[in-house]
Amino acid sequence: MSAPAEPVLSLRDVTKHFGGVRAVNRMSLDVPSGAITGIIGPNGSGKTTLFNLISGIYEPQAGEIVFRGRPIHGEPPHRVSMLGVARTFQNIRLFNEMLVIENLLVGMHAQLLSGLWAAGLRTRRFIAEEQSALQSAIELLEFFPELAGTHDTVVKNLSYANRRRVEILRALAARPALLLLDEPAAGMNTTEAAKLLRDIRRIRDRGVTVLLIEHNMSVISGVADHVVAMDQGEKVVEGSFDEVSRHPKVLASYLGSD
Amino acid sequence: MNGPRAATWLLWAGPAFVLAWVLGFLLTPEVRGLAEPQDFAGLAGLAALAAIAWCAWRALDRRGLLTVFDEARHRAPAQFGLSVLLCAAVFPLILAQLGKYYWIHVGALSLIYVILAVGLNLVVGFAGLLVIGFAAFYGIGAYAAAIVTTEVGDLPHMIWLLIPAAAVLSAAFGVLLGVPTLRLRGDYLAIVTLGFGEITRIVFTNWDTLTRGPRGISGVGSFQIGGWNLMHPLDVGPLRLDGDTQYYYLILAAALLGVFLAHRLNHSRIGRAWVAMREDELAARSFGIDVARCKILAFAIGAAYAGVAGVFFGSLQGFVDPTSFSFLESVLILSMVVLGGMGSLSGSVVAAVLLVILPEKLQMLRDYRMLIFGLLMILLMIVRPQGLIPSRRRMLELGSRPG
Repeated sequence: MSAPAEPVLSLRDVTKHFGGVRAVNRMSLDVPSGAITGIIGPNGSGKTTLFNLISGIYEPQAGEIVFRGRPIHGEPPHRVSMLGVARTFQNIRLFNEMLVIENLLVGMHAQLLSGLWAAGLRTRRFIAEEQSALQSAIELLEFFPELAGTHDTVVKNLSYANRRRVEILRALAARPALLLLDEPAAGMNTTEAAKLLRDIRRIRDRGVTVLLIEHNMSVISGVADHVVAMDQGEKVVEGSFDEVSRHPKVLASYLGSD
Repeated sequence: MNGPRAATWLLWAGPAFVLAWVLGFLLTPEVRGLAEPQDFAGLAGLAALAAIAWCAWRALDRRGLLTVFDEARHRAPAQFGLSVLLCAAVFPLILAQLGKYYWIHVGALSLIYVILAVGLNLVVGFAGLLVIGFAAFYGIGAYAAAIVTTEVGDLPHMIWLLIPAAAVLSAAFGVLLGVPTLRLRGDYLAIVTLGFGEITRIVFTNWDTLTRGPRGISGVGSFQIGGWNLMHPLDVGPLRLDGDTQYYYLILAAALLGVFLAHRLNHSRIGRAWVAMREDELAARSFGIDVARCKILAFAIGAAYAGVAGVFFGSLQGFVDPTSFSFLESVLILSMVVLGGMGSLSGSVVAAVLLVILPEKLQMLRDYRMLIFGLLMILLMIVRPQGLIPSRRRMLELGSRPG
């Protein structure tokens, strides 16, 4: 159960209640650097709430979240993002009226520095910055061959699977150290899902630590280096996929042995 | 109809057609009632113009000419700019030759509304913040010009300084309105900004010592360059430019600069952040966009546009009073944004000109103006909810094309 490397993200006794509902309760977790960590659990087990806590959308009532040695709980989402955490959403949340390339450029927002004057006067620095941002966005687009030639398409006109891909690229455009993927394969057929999981491994190979939510156990089996099982807001067990999937509590709560 | 040559030709024909149509519209005999033969001539003229506009519009829209035009416009922005500039520049000269000086004044007024509509479009169309009391900022600019030039004394070049000063003052009020409304969205924001607009109007009406209340302030200073007052007729060779014509050119320059800057902002990280915020605020926040700053910036810039428009308005009319900055005025500016297309700068320009000149010919229906106006808006929302010229996001082109 030992983590292969130093954790990039640590949660200590993180708790979030909504009224009487304990969405996340005394959750502790170390996310090993440079690996893919999968979080599994049935619907309503607090996985997405956990992501919202990490990315700063919610503030925990108790506990601490440390990212690369720095506490980030209580920081607003845009600050957390600038520190190097990027995410996707369970229900795709792209900027639908914008072009694919613009979505990626918004992902780079924090890296771009040009202000009002630079944009108005279109200074040399502004042009150079936009030019290089555009260039790296185009290069990033090559990560998914399926997206070839879509750079100036309005996002809402893309297929569902391609929108999922653009959302992942938008997150990668932010050059994160940690990427949070909330059910990236949801709504995809098995072939597409299998392809996507290979792509997620390629993301890890680029040096990005991945934290992945998935409620479908079979999907996660081939991809996660490390698996954490959650139920009712608490961590049930963690370890390798085989260890976790054979754990009696997981079998009971998750695979439904009732 | 296809190929770059036809498209380039369109760049010149388009603005020229619009100019001819507007001139034709303005020169149609006034319809005062339904008794004189002149009234029927006027009606026939208006009907013909409406038919021409309708056919041209169908041709543009249905046959994909609008797209061809759009492509050409972005391929050769300098040519298109020159073509528009030329048409806008000859407009008052033609009217002056025909002795229709009043229409030059209307033209100048419509350019003020172009500035207003573009400014509001940045807030409503791009940033997605539904602001209804926009005339407040317009009024603040106009009253600033009026009060300073009448109270401090009309120093020769002071009004030029009032342009940036009014922009900053209005922007400050924009921030003042933006900060407490950060958490509000949609309808709630609309109600608060409506309240702000009403408060401002009531202050204009009741702060007698400063604004002279409902009597208004007359004798607002005019623009001067050296010893030359822009309100006085100027002879340029055989041409005699009256005050309104000179103001027309002055405001044209300002409007062009306003559209140009808005266009550049749109294609920068700030414009992208605004649109991203409009599309999905939560996702925008998750990508390093400081939504609070972004909103306040939108309020400030939009208000600054209105402030500048206000200075021109005050100086052009020479008189300001609270009725010019009423709720209906705010609705009119918002209608321009909606009619033209949210987030579409060219749409705002066209709609602003249309909504200023159209009512001028409907004087006989003066009492029913708002009624007709309302009907038109309903019709538009049913037929073309995206506006006359729907906004299209496009890639920033900086010389070399990537990819």
